Amino acid sequence: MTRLGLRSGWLAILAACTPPAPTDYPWHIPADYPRPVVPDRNPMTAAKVTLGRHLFFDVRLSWNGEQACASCHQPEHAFSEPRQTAVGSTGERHARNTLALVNVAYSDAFMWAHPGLRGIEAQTLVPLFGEDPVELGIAGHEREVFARFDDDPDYRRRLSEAFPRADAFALQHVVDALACFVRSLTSFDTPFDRYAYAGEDDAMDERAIRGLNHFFSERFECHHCHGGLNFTASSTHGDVALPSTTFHNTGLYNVGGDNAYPDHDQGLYELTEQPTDRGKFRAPTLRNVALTAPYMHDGSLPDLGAVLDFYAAGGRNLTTGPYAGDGRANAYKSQFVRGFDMTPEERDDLLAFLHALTDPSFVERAVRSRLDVQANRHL
Amino acid sequence: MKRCRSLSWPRKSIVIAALALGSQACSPATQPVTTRFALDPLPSLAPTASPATLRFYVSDLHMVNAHGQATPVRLTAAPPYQDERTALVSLPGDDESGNTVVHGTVPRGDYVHLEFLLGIPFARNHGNPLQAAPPLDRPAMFWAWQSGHKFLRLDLGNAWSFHLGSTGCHSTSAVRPPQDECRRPNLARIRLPAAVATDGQIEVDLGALIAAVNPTTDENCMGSYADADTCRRVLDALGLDAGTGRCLADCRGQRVFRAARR
Repeated sequence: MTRLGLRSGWLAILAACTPPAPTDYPWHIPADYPRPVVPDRNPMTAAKVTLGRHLFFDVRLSWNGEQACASCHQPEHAFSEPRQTAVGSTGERHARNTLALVNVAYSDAFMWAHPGLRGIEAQTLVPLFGEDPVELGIAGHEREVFARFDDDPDYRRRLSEAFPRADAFALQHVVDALACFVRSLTSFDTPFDRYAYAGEDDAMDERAIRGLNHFFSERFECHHCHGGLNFTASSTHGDVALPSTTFHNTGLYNVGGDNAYPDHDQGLYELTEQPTDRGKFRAPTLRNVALTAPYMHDGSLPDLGAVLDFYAAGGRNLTTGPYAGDGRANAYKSQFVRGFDMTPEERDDLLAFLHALTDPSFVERAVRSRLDVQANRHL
Repeated sequence: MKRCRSLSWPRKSIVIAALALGSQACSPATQPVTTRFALDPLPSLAPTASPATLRFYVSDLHMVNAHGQATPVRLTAAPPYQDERTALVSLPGDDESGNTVVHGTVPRGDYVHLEFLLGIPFARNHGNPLQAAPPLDRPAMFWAWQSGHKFLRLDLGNAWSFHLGSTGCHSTSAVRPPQDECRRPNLARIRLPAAVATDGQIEVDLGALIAAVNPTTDENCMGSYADADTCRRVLDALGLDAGTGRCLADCRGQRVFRAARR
């Protein structure tokens, strides 16, 4: 399988570098919240975050100059996008929906179903170099792409501030700076956080509190996969040394009754080739989830109401079309997706709770950071 | 430092034991307590019901002498799997490196029993999850502030799950801790011969735990244990009465943990 195939040489390059002196990076994280794990090799600095932010929003980082990271990871949508599935810089349509970038610093798994990736730095290579599908498409053109930044005095200044010993852009600098920027995208200023952790009883209304109680109940079982600080099982933080990556088949498909997902995307199975991994994907964070429609790995559910109805039904029965089949009966479906009875009021309660996970200040900062970058552009 | 009583370990062992005895503070006044857990192999299950992953907390260890006097075991602080009071045991599964040994020290003495609590006592079970330190910081082993931690978590592939924890915990919402003890604590106190802490080990008999369960057809047991006959019988195998959430006859009838030779 060539999907997401990476040249192992790049990983070797990443491993060979000298760490700059650690700094006290001013995280946007409340004082009593756990700090994320940061690799010793790439400590956070404001200068690297700044450089990474400029790169993130810069279309020159794609080979053909058509796309930036931000073309798909859009600030208004918590760094996801409203398209059903992503489209790369060459116009190639991807199989999967763009994931939001929210508290990725806490992730111990990346992408929808990629168990082998350890760390944001390694993940960053996928959009840069991936050839199936093409995203930024710089494979084979690295020198030329990096030279664009070497030729830009503002970028040279940012490079020397971020990497004092560097005299020209190299992959290491691009990857480390982008990783630092992505790591800086933390979001905890929500009505839920004020209610749950700051003890503000009136931070959520009664409907949202009822929804919260449904969410954490055994009847709805939402929190089994969307639990913990970031409402995802694939989250870890400073004191946790034991990653707990989990992937689930939610019964979205059962093509032809063969327990299959559509041929072009079988989830975790694509990498493991274990039959029981068919249709397994990672449960993403629910923080800012109201901003990240459409939903599921292939964006095939349009809104949060549809997602709740889907889980209430215990999967999806497609009666027509090329993917027809009763996903509810998929043999590999997670035991947590068994369906539940949900009254219209409970549905409204759950929606209110999910909206209480939105952090408007996060989006404001994100949008502002793009404007800052655009104001500084000399294209 | 004086030499402690040396223990010899058989080379042949199915259990990968991360022993920290060498670095352990040790004096003639204390003796090591090293409790190994081993998974008794399950009868073969349907492909969708494997692999089996089993994780559980062990707290409040005591050694008990012939007069019934219990002496607390001080666990060795060894994150991420144990602090001084609680250890997380994780038997081999697909996504965990696993931890099969709980270790600590106890004043030297003649003991006949080892006792431990399967789970986390109420006073520790409902702390602020933001400040949870290892081994209590595992999202997969946590329900919510109100209901606290999962004491034991067994997942049979994607077919069937048993999550044991306290139920009937009352507070104003799922993210507020209860002031009073939960109605059904579901904390089993397990008593085994003292030899398991020296030259024996504890076999965990999953077959006995799920004897009443058909993993491919039965509902999960994750809360309202008394409502399903299957779940009542799963709790009964641990010595617990699902109706009251308390030990039946001091949990002495439990059939899941048993002493074995190493």
